[in-house]
Amino acid sequence: MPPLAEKPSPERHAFLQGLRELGYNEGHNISIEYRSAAWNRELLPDLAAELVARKVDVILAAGPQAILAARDATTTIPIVMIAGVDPVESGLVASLARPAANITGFSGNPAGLAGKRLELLREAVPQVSRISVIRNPDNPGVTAEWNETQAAARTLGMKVESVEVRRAEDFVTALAKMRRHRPVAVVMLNDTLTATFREVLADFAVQNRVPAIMSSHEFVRAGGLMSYGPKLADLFRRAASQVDKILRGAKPADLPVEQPTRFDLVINLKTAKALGLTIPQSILVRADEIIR
Amino acid sequence: MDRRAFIIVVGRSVVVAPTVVRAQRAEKVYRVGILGATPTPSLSEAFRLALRDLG
Repeated sequence: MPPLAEKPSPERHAFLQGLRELGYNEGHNISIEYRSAAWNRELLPDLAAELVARKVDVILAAGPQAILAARDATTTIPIVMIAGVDPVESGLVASLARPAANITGFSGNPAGLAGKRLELLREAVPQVSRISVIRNPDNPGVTAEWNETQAAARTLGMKVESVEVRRAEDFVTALAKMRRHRPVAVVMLNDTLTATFREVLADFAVQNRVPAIMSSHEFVRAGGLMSYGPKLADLFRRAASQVDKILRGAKPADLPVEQPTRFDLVINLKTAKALGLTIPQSILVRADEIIR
Repeated sequence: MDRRAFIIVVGRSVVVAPTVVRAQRAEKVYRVGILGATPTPSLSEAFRLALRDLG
């Protein structure tokens, strides 16, 4: 998940901007309590308890671990979640239509997105026949995305190698494994763990001349070839609208969990050049952002 | 309107007006808590440097 509680971040900016558009001004009629566990996820329960003790009116929780901590800290204060993963598979909520008494928000990647990502990769780099997929198998929230990636690869006639990372230390062996297998392309399934290593992967991909794609545009800014995923700033702006509804008295239980509806295709042409690739015009015209 | 009625009306508005102003000033300040668990970029950077050292 993006560094919402770190400042400054485009996501936080989008959330605050969304609030301003709805008439909320920080320090005037709204105050915001930021709590970030940074890398120390074990701090989350205490931070969530602090927010509850300070009697906030609503909690915006970003990322599965933060959402779990908020959910365990209160059954009464409304929680707006930005899941980043499938919140039902992850056990965050019972269902999208009826999440829980005090939780609503946004789910992660909608069905079809992982397949579309692979199609875009194939279109950008037609010679891709074998992919390494970096994923965290301990995160049930990315299982659907993994299954979908495998199915799409079959359809597109690509061979798939699963590269599993469960903790930070695993990245060293994961990168070594990929160096040996020399994949034609790398796909990284986004979660809190893998997101930390997007810069590492971007570096690895350029050094080893491998095209790589993941869902976060931050990956492309860090030097990755391309990304396709939910437009995060849009989600955070919409989160402001859900917060507003709750502040005006709506019950989270009456607000179904929403899906991302806007997506970003970002391509780094500097990286393409470094990899010796010519990205077809047909895909460049569809890009939301091109880094030159 | 006779003079007495006028005074009562004015008097009332004088009494009412400050209450309205106070109500506006005491507009509720909502409190939103934001909770996140994000690895800091510096850690990712530290890892990258560690990898570089490992070759």
